[in-house]
Amino acid sequence: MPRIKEKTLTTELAKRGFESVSVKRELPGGRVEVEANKLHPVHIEGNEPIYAPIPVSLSVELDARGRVKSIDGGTPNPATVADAARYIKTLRDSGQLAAAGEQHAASGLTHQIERDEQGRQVLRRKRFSIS
Amino acid sequence: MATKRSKRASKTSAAKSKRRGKARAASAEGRAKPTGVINAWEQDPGAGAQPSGGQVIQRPVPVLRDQPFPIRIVNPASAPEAKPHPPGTADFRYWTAAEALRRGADFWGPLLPGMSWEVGSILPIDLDFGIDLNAFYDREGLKFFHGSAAGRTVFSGESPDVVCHELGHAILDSLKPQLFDAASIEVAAFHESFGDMSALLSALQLPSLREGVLAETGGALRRASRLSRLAEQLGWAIRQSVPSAVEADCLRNAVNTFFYRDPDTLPTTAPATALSSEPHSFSRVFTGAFFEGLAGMLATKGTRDEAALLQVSQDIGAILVEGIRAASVVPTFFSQVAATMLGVAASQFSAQGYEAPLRGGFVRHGILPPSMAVAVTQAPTRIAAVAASQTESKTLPTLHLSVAEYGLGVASIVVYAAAEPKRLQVAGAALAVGPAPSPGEDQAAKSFFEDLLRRGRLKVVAKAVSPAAEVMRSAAPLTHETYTHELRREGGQMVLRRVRIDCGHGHH
Repeated sequence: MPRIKEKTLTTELAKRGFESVSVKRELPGGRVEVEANKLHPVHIEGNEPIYAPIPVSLSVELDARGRVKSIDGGTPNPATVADAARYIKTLRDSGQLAAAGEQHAASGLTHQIERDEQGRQVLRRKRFSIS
Repeated sequence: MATKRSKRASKTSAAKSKRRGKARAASAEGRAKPTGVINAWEQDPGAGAQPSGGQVIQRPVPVLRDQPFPIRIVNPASAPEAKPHPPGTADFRYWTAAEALRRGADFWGPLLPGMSWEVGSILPIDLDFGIDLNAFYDREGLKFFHGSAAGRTVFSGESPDVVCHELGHAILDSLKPQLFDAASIEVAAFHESFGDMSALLSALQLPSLREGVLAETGGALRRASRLSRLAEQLGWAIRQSVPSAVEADCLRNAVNTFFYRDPDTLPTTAPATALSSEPHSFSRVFTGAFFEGLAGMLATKGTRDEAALLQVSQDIGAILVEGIRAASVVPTFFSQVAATMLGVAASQFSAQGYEAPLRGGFVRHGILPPSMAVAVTQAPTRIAAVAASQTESKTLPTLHLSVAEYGLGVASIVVYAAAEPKRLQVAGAALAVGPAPSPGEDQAAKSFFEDLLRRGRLKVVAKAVSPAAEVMRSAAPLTHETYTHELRREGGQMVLRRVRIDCGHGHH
């Protein structure tokens, strides 16, 4: 079994759109079970989609050099996408979400919509607050 | 405005900080440990609904740079003289925050050996980042504020509850970084709950608080107390402008009766008296279950003294950490963590008997259905049984209800179902539109039975039946029984019987 280099794996999976990668366990046959977030478009009330980091599980097959050979899973299921949509609505309704370009100073704001290099609206947490 | 560092920059910086940290640690070894004591708030500057009245205690001078989880207060830039300062001074505020930070880090450190902050080797703390009635954790550090309410200035960094809540975010971010950004209601709510659990467990590391809360509650930890009430003073300050945003006597209370709902069925905002899908609001479901489990764990101890309370606080911390580690990050994250915690309790703490009280907390708050709460630790056995009636109205039809999944040791029981024809075609309202779907007779009967289990109101009296599915109520009085129904053998059947009607207001 190839030696798991978590940093290499993280870099390789980042190229495929996975963030916050963590290796859950090593499986037989040179596979690793991974948890990560994946940016996925979420449609809120017909507006421009917001790409939200959605938790996914995936099984990654590595080659002898520890590079990604194939990936099983990693696609958000409808329940997780619905959860993300509800989450964004909750953030918006409770005043915790700043729109793209909006100043991030108001009390209670925890998230911001940012434009990434591809021009997509992306949901990003900025902080946790106590109330 | 705080900006998020890239992971790469963070790690590079972390490596440098690690080297610097090692150098500092090496030089610190040559330094003598500070002696003497400082004054600090025990848990909060406020008491109940009042903005003042918190207990002042004396504690050894904290050393923030020490392992585990080194910390540095960056604002103010220099530490005042380490001696007992009077409350109401900036010097007092510095040392009370430092004491809480060190205590929180010392609590979590042994449970997470070798782990470092997600932000780098040292967690920076700003005790006065500006004007706000709030406190933040971002991936730069912790930020506290000051704000005015009713002519009083409140400093959020002065409350050990607030400090240890924010520290909890930083700890959980180290343990499971994926949760920081995950777009999920339960994941976000769990992060808030962990902050509150961090405040609770860190507070329990103080001998004076353990003694105080045991005296205040008469040893029944499930009662509301200064332990369960989080951030009384900050709650008071927010209450002055938005009374409905917080509890009547604190920011949030771990003693609560909130029952799990699919967040999708909840409003996005609600007053503090109700549940919403907003993460702080929804977090109270898990915190309530956790606190009830904690109280029940203490109740299993022969001697409910402060030493037992300390042990229980450390054990539940270990169970929580292992539960989080193993839990899958899914929309139903609460139940994932709860189930793995039960598994840890059953496998690693079986001698202590923690599984039953923890299960009771999770079931009574609806985080796990009774059947799943049993299934996670044992396989249900299936034995056939049937039953008959003696006291119920003969006009009520009986139903044979399948209960194999609850671990009772019987496949079915007999219940008296509310299966008469409806006189009025009404139903509770759905949150979206129209009436909520009306359950069928079997579903309604099963729902009622499961509700008895959840609320700890079912007593299993038949010898052949396993009491494993009974849910322990930490709120149950020690002097008398409060269960309302019995599952008893009558003839060749297992029958569900009501034995009393309990109208007690305090017994949620």
